[in-house]
Amino acid sequence: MFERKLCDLFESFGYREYKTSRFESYDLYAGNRDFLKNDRIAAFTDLDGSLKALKPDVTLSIIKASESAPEKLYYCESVYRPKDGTFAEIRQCGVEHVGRIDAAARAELTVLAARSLKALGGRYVLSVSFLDLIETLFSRFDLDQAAGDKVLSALSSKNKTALAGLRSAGMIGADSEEVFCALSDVFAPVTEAAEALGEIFAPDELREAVGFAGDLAACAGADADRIFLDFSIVNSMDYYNGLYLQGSVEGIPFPVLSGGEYDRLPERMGKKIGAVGFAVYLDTVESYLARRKSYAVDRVILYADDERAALRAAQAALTFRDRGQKVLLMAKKEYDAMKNRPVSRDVVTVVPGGGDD
Amino acid sequence: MIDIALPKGRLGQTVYSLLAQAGYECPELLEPGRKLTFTNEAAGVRYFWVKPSDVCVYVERGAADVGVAGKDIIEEHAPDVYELLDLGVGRCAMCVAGPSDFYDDTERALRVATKFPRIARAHYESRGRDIDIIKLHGSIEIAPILGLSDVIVDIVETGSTLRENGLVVLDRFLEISARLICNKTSYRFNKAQVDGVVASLSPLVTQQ
Repeated sequence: MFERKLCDLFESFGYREYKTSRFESYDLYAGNRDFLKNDRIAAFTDLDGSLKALKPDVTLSIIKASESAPEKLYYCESVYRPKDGTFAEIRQCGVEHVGRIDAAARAELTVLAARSLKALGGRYVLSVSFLDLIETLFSRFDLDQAAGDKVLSALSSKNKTALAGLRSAGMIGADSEEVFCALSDVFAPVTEAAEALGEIFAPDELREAVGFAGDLAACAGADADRIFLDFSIVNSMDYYNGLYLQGSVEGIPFPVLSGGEYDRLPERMGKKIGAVGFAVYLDTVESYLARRKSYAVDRVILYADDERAALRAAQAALTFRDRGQKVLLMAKKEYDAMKNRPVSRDVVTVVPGGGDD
Repeated sequence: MIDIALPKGRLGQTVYSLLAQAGYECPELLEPGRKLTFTNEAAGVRYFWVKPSDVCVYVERGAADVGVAGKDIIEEHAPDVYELLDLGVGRCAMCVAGPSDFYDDTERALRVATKFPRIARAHYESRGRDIDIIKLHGSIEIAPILGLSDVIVDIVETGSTLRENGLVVLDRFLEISARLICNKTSYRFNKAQVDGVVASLSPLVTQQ
């Protein structure tokens, strides 16, 4: 249900469907483990002796296949990732815009992400952050990799106690603690970027973010007030270089959408192209939003151990099925012997034996 | 309405008293009985009593918007939640403990008994020390006494249990206290109410 809605939406934004193969060379993932977040990959030896993997990710396959020409592609695929101690098949759909990523491309992708959340129904929030702004602060305060990683971890959990701990340990100074605490408090409509971030960043540092806010206000319409600046959404700066997105829907406790600008991934793969995209986690969406069935069939029609009763029951079943109902037709003796009887919406009907038709 | 998961036991009672002082009282909660959920409509809160090690699960999965969990539980389970406030209660520390004459022979893997394998592994990885983890569920202190392990990684409060069993603290590496955690999605849709809880608790916490 949600898959079709999202695919139609992606196509309305000019994306075309792209199908990847279920298996990929293991090397593709081995060389980009940080991008995958989880380094456990379901791998096997193929018949030709090569090491293959059940795809844990679609983005890497698309970037691998991309040449220098721009592409706007969408996919609805299964990926295979560890979940609860075992590998699981996870359904997701998403978009990748590969090519020259300019301000308009970023704004359009953000609007598409907001519309994707809207398509799922209910209240939603699209959180955005700018990883390059965080990098600006790391440079300003001359933080090394270890301190930067710990600051990112503290920001991701809005953990001011952790920031205080970094200051006590001498990894960051008091001035930087104050700035990062202020950054962790930010949760404002992105159209108010200048006001929300003006105390933290210099005007020239904010130019791109403010420009983005302006572009978004111009093309997002009413959706713009559901898009919030939130620097608790962070990711590896080895791959993501700017805009980063995460989407939430009320009633679903986990994020259902994530993505951003990840020029550093194609760069690491030796390609001179930019890239921006996001994925929607369909399994999570359906787990919480799909209407739960409370019965298996609309009606059950049973017949006595009698040929005429069976015929009358079959005719009745046909009538109800022609009306679009789901009908279970069965001999009463068999039904009584069933261990797990299907739950019926309506009362079970028994067609007795003998008598007139 | 904000759903708050409280850990059953002494810590939960202490934290509740802070919340009550902050204006989120629910007197019914203190009455003896087996009831597990308590609501104060006027204050806009509903409380649940849950097993301390399950608070993170309830909050991460959105069954509770907010919860209180010890830093030891948070570090061990690593839930993807916001950690909004150190409540300053339930203070203790995660330590390496062992016999007073313990000598770390680095030519072999160190055998470590613990209820907290993730914390123990991370601690020794940061020191580049190879270890063999023995996961136990209780009475950790007897492990080195019986030769099951060389050392233990466990919570230490006053240290009396260690002393009574002839053990000493060898390394104190993680300060622990109760933390207010929040589901990330809940925060985005209930920011004002959650910020209100944090703002009301903060002045009381600095007094701890």
